[in-house]
Amino acid sequence: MSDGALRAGEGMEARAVDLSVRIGDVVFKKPVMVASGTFGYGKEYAEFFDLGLLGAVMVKGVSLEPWPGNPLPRIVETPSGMLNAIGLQNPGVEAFIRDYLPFLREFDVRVIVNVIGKSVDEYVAVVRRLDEAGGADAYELNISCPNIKEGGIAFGVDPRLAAEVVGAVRRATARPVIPKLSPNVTDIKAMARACEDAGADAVSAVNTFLGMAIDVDAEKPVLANGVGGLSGPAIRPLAVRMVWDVYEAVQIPIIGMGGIAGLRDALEFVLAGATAFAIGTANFVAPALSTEIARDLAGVVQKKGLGRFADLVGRAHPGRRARAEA
Amino acid sequence: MGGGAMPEQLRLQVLEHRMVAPGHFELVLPLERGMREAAPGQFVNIACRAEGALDPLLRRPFSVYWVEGDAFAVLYRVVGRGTRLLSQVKAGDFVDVVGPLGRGFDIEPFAQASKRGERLVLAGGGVGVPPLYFLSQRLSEEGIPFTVAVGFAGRDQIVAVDRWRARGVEPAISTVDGSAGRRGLVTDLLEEAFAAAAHDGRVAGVFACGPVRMLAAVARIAAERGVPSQVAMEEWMGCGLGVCLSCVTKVRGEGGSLEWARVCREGPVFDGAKVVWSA
Repeated sequence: MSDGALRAGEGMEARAVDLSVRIGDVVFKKPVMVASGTFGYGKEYAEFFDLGLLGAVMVKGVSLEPWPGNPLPRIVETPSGMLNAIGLQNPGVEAFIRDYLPFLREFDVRVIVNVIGKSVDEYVAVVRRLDEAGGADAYELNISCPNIKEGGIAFGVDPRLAAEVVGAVRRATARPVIPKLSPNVTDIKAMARACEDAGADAVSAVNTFLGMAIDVDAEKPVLANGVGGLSGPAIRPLAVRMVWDVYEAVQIPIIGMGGIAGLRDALEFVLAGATAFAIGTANFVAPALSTEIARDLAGVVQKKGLGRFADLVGRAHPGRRARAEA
Repeated sequence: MGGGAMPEQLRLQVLEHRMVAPGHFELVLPLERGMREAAPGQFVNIACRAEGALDPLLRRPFSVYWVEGDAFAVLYRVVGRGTRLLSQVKAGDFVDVVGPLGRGFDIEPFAQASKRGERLVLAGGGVGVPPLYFLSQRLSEEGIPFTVAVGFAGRDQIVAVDRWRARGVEPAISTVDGSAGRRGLVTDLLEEAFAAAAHDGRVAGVFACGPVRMLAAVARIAAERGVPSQVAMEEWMGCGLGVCLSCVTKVRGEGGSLEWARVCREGPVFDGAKVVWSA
């Protein structure tokens, strides 16, 4: 790109910046997404903006049968963040296909369906049903919930089990498969590699951090579930570090997430190695933040003298930078 | 049902902010955009932190207290860090508001109450009283008769009563400690309101807002007399938009099945007969 493109206010440069990214065979017009569990199935946010301003909507987790969720309290605020233990309440895949998916398809936006299950078979069954119905562009696998068949071991903390579920879903669908990595592991690189080897097209990094808050007056945990998942700006440095590590471990794209509350936060994830990023808890607080980030992204790419957003990915890694400039 | 305007995120300049009782504040904001169509029982979600700050992260929900001319107000009690920070905001400062949110009171079924010699009873407890004042403004505009019964912990906790009196409405008052009005609970006043039907008009409906145990009692008393009730509920909210599923409450759905309803979306106002009261 010529130097002229660096100057601000010339009107036509925004068109010159290519924001598209690719995961598997699917092209996303922008790398800006909204994280599962913070955006429902899109209806509520469509009151604030055109969902087509985003690259993708990652919908709230969908299971084979309806899940009731946990007792209350399900949420508690913590410093610059919050703990939640909603318990993946959702109406099940049939209701999702019938009541929510057609609405999402009215918008020019990719739909990534977050899939949850209590066994490998359940993940596969949900994906098969969605493939049959059509309308999902990719599947994000939430592998952070307890595996009942395996006696309570979570898919998300055992590389062998993660590979098993990713492999089974891989064999069931031609659409991109994106496991969502749990940060509650000793070695996230091993988890990412296991997913890549099992045929994942990308990984989402990261889900919430296991946490707890105690009611000092009542002398018991605040959440009815005891523990919950920590999200919000409080976790951003932890999440950025994990994206950095995953980038060094695998070749597949990373969708980075964890506490993004502005464009510069998102860029940290991109420079650490994320091909795309998702705004999560901040959607609760600033409903249209994701569209503001999407609006301003091209300008940043341009200011850096780049023609493609994809050229920014991983640039904070010394090796990556040398490769790019060679 | 109450409220059809699309919610928006608004940056509003504080017109007035004053303490109206110990620990209780009235925040007056300009009435802009969709807030002009706010219905009684709907709420706004306010960021209780400095602009650009990330803590405390989550917004706090406040029901609309009154709408007059080009202004609206919320009334709140300082209970924690968020409301304490909000209480420090001064006239001229900007606050970040999302609204109007939720579903408010439905007064349409009572449009003919006056002709039928009927009235509504508004029953409020503590900081649950303000949305009932807004409701009474709308009822007056619509010519729907009502009486007001409000309960507080004690005399220095009384709010909104002055505004009613200025409009010629004399609320029945109870206090737990007996320092003002009748000693006891607002539910005692509600029983009396039913008893006074002979001269004040038959009670066609009860509209309530207050602590959950009060709402459960109000719904029971109304049901015993075969009168519909609408109750404005409160619950810890994450988003206030209907997506995080933190503020759900159990309700009886079609055919009697139990299901979760979102207080921020299907509520905060519910049919008192449909709520499953655990208190």
